[in-house]
Amino acid sequence: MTDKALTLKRKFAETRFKIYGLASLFLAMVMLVVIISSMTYRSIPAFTNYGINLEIKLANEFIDKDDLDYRGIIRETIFSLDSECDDRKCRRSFSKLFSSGAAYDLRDALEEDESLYEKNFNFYILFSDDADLFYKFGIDKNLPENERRLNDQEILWLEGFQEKGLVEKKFSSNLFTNGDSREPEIAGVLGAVIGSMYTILITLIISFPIGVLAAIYLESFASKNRITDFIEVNINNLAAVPSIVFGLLGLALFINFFGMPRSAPLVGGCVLSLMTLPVIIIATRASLQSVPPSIREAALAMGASEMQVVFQHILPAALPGILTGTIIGLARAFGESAPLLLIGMVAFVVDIPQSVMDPATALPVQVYIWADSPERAFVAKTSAATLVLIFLLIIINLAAVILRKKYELKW
Amino acid sequence: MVTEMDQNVNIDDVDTKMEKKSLIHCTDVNVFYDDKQALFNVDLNINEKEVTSLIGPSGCGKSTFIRCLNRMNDVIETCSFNGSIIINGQDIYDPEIDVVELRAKIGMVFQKPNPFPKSVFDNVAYGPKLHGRFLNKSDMNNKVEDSLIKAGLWDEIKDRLNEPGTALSGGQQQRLCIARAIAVDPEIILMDEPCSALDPIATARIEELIDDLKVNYTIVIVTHSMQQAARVSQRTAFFHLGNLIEVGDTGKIFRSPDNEQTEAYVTGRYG
Amino acid sequence: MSEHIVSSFDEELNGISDGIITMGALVLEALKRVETTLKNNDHNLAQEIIDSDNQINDLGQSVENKVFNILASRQPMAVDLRLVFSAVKMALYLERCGDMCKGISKRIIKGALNEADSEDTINHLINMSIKVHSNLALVLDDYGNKNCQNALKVWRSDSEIDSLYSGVLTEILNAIKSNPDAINTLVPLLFIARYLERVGDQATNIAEETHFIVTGEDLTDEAKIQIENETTF
Repeated sequence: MTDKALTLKRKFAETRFKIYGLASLFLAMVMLVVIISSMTYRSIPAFTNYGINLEIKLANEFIDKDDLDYRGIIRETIFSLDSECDDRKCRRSFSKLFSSGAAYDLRDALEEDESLYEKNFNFYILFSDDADLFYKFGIDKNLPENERRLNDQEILWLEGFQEKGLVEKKFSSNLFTNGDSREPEIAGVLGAVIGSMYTILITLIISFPIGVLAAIYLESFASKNRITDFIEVNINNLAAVPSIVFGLLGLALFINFFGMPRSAPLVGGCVLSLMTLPVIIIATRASLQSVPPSIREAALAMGASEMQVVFQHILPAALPGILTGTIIGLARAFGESAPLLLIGMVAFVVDIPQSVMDPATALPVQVYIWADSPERAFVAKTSAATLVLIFLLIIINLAAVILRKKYELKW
Repeated sequence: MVTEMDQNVNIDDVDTKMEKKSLIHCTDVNVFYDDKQALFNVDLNINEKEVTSLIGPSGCGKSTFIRCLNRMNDVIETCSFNGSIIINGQDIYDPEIDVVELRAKIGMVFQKPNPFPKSVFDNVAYGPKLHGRFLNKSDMNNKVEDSLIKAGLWDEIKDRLNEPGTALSGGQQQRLCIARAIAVDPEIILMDEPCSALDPIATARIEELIDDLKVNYTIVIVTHSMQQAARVSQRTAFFHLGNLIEVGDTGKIFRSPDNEQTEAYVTGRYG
Repeated sequence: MSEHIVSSFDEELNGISDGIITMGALVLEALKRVETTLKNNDHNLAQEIIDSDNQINDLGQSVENKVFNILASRQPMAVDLRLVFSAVKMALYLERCGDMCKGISKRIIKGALNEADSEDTINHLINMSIKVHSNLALVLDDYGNKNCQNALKVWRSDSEIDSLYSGVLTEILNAIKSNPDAINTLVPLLFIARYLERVGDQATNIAEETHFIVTGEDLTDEAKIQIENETTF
C-alpha cells in the first residue's frame, strides 16, 4: 500500500473510532435523560396534594389544652360540609374522603400558635389518597362499584366540592417532613433519610479508621510473606462479595450472637461497614502506593522513622485518594438495601429515629417498601423517593470531588 | 599516612595535600540482592573534610556502596550486607545503633531533586523539627536562613519562603535539597549523581557549592561524569562490576592511573 | 589498549601522532641532506633543505590546530591527555630541528665549507650529524612504537655528541688563535657545530616527552642527572 493510502486508512480508522465513542456517549446520555425525566414526571403527583380549606370553630367551646379531641374537631368541621349524612355507614364513607393525618396537623398547628385556641381560623385539610387520586387522574366510572376505590356517592361528593370551588391544590412538603405512613398522602422520607444518615455515620466511624490503618499497616509495616499475600487476596475478594451475604452475617453475628437491637442503625452501620471496609482498604492502599517513592527516600534519608514517614509524608499526600475512595464506598453503602433487609430495617417505622439505637429504616429500603405497597398513590411517592435518593448520592459524590480538589497536592 | 608529594608541586598546593584524617573505614564490604552479589570485598576509606568521588560504569555498584554508608539499603528487603563500616570509631551496622540518629548525621542528596510537597521554609525546617532542635521560633528562622545561605539559594528565595518547594526550577530544587540536608548539621553529605538531571549552569552552581561545602563537611559523590569528578573531588575511587578497582588522588587517576581497567574507563575505551 | 567507543576520537588522536611522525620523517630527511651537503658542499641541495623547511612548519601548525580542537571537544584523559599535551611540545622541538638544519644550510650556501682547510673539523661535523641523525631516528622510533626502550641509550649518546662538540669547539678556537686572519672562515663552522649540538638536545627532549607519554612520569632518573653532570663544556 502506498504511504498516502495508509495515511487515509489510518485517518478513517481514527474518525470511525471517534464516531463510535461519541455514539456511545450519546446513547448513555439519552438513557440517562430518559430515566431521570420519566422518574421526575412520575414523581410530580407526589409533590402536590388536594385539600380543602375549612373553618375550625374553637372560639365558643371549652378547650382543655391537655385533652383535646383533635379527631373530633376535625370530624365536626368536615361534617359541616354535608348535612345529609345520618347513618354511620354514610358518615364513615364521608370521612374516608379526608386524610386521617388532619388531626395530627391540627395538633401541630395549635401547639405552634397558642393564639389559635381562642378563635376561629381557616385550616387546610388534606384529602385522602383515593380522593386525591380522583382529582389528579380521574376514575373509570364504567367499572362496577366493587372494583373501584370510590363508589358513586363518594364521587358525587367529590365532584360537588369541586363545583363549589372548595378544592385547592397545594404543593406538599409532606414527602420531606414526615415519616412513613400507611396513608400515602402524608407519607414522607424523613424517617428513612435520618435512618440512612445514622447508618452511614456508624459505617463511617467504624470502617474509616480501621480501613485506613489496616491499609497503612499492610502497605508499610507488614513483612511480605505468604500470610500477607493471603490477606490481600481475601480483601480483594471481599470487595466483590454480594452485599446480601453481609446481611446474613450481620443477622447471625450482631443480632443473634451479640444481641444488638434489631432494625437499629447501629446494626445496619456495622453490617455496611463490613461491606465498605474492603473498599476503603483497597482505595487507601492504591493511594499510598501512588505517592512517589522519592518522597519516602528523602524522608528516610533525613532520619525519619518508618512511622514518621507514613504519617508525616505519605498519608497527607495520599489523603485525596483516600477520601475519594472512602466517599465512594460510603455512597455505595448509602444505596444498599439487601443487607439491611436481612437485619430488619425493612419494618414499618413511623417515628423519626432519635438515636442510633432506635428502630429505623433506610432510604433505599423505604423505596423498596413503597414500591411494594398496593396503594396507587405510592407509585408517585416511590419515584419521588428515588429522586431524593439519587439527589443525595449526587451530593455525596460531589463532596468527594470537592474534597479531592481541595487536598490535592501539586507534585 | 602522608600522600605522595609531587616534586613539581606549587607551594600553594601544599596545604591541600596535608595529612587528612580518615573518617569512614569500610572493610570487606559485601552486598547481596537476594542471591546476586553487587559488591565484592570493598575496602575503602573516606577522608574527612574532602570530596571523594565514586566513578564507574552503570551497574558497577557505586550507588549501592554509597547507600551502605547511611544504611539506606536497609529499606530494600532483598538487600543484605556483610562487612564493617566504621564511622568515628563506631560500627554503623551494630544492631544497637539507632538508624534514625545515624541518618541525622549523614545527609543525602538524590539524583532527581525530591523536595517535600511543603513550603520552602518547611522543607528546610523539617530536619531540625524532626530531631527536636530549635524549638524557639526565631532560632528556627535563623537556622533556615543560614542553611539556605550556605546552599547558595537565599538570595533567590528569601521572598518566597512560603511557596511550595516543588514550584522551583530543577537546579533550585536540588539546592533546596542540599539546604535541607545541611540544616541538621551533618558530618557527612552523600550525593548520588546530584547533577544528572540539571542543565550546565545549574550543574556549575552545584559544583561551586560543593567547593564551598567541603571546607566543613565530608562529601562523597557518585558521578558518571569523569570531568565532574576531576573538577570537584580530591580523591577518586573507580568501581567496576562490584569491585573497587583503584582508589587514589584524583589528579593521578585522571593523569596516569595505575590500573589498566581504570585507564580504559577514564579515556572512554571501556565498551 | 582497545579502541575508543567513539571511533572518530581514535581517528583524531591518530591524526595528531601521525602528524608528529611525518614531521619527524621530514626532519630526518633534512638531517640526511645536511650530512650529504657537508660531505659534498652541494649548494643546490642546501637550497632544497631551506625550501623544504616550510613543509615542516606547516605541519607543526596543523598539529597545533588538531590539539586545540581535540582538547575542546573530547576532554581527553590519562594517556590520551598526555599524548595530546606532549604533541605541542614535540611539534615545537621538531620545528626547531628543522630551523637548525635550515641555519646550517644557509651557512653552507654563504660558503662556510669553501675556504676552510680544516678537513678534520669538517669530518667531525659530519660525524656529529650522523650521530644526531641516528639519535633522532631512535627517539622517533620510540614515539612511533609507543615505548621508550631507546631513551637511555639516546641520553648517553647525546653526551658523546656534547663531547664531540667540545672537541670541535676547542679545535676551532685553537685554529683561530694560531691564525687570527682565518676567523671569518672558521666562525661559521662553529655555528654549524652549535646547530648540530642543539639538534641533539632536541632529540633528548623528544625522548623525555615520549617517556612521559608512556609512563606518565618525568624522566627524573638519577642516572640522567649524573650523565648531565658528567658533561663538561
